[in-house]
Amino acid sequence: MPDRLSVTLENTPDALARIVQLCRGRGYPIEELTFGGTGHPAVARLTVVVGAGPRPVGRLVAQLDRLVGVLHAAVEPAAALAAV
Amino acid sequence: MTEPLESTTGAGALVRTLEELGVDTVFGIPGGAILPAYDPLLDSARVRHVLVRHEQGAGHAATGYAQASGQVGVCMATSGPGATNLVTPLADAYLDSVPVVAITGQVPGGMLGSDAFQEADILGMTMPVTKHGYQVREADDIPRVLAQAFHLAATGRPGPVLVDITKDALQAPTTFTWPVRLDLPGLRPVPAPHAGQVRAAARLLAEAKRPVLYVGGGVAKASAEAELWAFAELTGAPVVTTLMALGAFPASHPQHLGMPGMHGSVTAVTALQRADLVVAIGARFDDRVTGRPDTFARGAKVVHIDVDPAEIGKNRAADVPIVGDAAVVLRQLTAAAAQLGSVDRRAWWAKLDEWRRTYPLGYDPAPDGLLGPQQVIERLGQFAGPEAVYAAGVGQHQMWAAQFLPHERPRTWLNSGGLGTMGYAVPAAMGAKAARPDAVVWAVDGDGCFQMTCQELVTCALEGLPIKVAVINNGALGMVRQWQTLFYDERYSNTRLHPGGDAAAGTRCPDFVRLAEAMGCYALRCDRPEDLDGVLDKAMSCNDRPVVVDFVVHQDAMVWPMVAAGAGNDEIQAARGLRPDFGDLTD
Repeated sequence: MPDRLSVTLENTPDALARIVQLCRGRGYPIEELTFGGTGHPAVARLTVVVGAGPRPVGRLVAQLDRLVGVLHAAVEPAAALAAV
Repeated sequence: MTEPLESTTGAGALVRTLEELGVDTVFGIPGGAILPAYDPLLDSARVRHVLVRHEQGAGHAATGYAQASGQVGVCMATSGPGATNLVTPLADAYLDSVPVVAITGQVPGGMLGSDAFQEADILGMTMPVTKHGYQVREADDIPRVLAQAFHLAATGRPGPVLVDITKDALQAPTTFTWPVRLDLPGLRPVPAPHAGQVRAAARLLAEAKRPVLYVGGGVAKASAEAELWAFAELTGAPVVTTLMALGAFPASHPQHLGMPGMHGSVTAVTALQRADLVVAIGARFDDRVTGRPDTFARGAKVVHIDVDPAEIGKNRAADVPIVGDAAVVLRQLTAAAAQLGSVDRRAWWAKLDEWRRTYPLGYDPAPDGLLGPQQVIERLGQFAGPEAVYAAGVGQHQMWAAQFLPHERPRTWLNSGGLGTMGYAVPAAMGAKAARPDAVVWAVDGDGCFQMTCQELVTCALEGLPIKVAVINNGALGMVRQWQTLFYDERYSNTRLHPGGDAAAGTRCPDFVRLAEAMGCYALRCDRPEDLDGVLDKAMSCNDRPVVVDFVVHQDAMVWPMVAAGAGNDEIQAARGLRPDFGDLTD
């Protein structure tokens, strides 16, 4: 069952690259990725759907959340994914 | 208060920033893209540049400097190969949470992405092995970004930070002003410990019949040794210190059970296995400590204290998680524990003491007339004492150094624990000597490790950094050979470093004495037990040059105790084929 993560990040290519690399490095395959701006030019929003990894997805969120360029990371409720 | 603006270049601003940040030593090598930075560096009275012989040496030296001093270590390299040579030490510093800032030159901004000469995407390739990284393309940004890098490296869970600066940014005119305002919106401050969780942890400990304090490198990083001591003595709980925490609690303290893990003491390993409560402080339940994780400390509840929330629950679920700085948490825990009594733990201590008596650390004597590696390391520790700083390479000699050196004080044990980087010892010792010139600094190295980074002895000789190196020369990649002995039917594929013939002669190719002399060192060889004290005496009394001692030891010594990779810690062997008899705990 894939998980949909919602990430608010600094609006830089580096921050995005780190997130993608972290998902790969920690073993969570990316199935879908949406990156876009927010009302604030320095802040971007990323939605990433990841497949099953070696550990519960909460571990990935904890790793994402400690990245310096990440302002907030969370798993969206399962209903949000089912509705897509 | 803002000081007057200084007109300068990006390079000038870089050096001024280093000065304002209090950097006294930078390890590096110049090259094309970083060249502008080296010009103002020549005039700095406050920043000393140590010209290393390989960038990997610069990186490990910065790590050694940081581990010995507690300050941020700094290394510098040019673009392309200079920068890629820093990848290994950055990965090393990342896994061991060492505050390091690496400054690299980069091709001019207009040439980025063109496969220019000496262009490498160092920011991209170091992302998985750094806490954070920056590429700076504007001279005006240099002071702020560097200040942020230093702040990030040293804050919360420490780690390496890369600052890649394009050559045109270094050359461009700018104005320097200090201090700068940091812009780190994503940086979370270290939270105050959750008071309820602290009370819950104190209650669990008060009720625990068989507790163990499992102390990791985070205690050393937080300089929380005094707080740990107070907490341990108040609660009377036994303490184990991981490879990264040796010295954070005195090994001679009666509550200290030794090091846990694959080559830990029988008592430390077994205490965790039989514990009903494990209080992990700045430790990460690494696989080298836990063995097979589903068999680790099965009967124990876990209190996990860490400054990095991502560590809590990563490898082992925590019953009581506490996020916070180790020193702050320990102070609060001590205060909370002081309000509570504790249950009678005499049965637990009786069992621990019985294991300590029955299974002390030790080793078989070397065959007649030959030097034993453990004997060399143990004696070296007796000569140099607990006030010396010790750096180890990776392998058998590292484990013996962990087991037999006197680990009594913080910041005296430098070690590549997480990445297991062979070649770490000599440059790390060099960095430690730069940080603490008055200390005796020994690198305990293997003959395999030594051949990876010994070129930095030239740096030591020319820069006035007289470290001492003990090459534990068994003519083999000893730890790999040990695994071949135990798990590969003694088929010694590519672990022999000597040219053949006398297996007890270590290797003379290279001849470490002549090699060391060629690099400007005082060199000695010791291959007979009766010469050991005399040679150590000579090594200790030479202080105007680096010293290298080629200790020729027999190749069949093995590191014990041992838990085989993939096995559970209950399968620990005190010596080959000797599984301790623990009996049953009756309480």
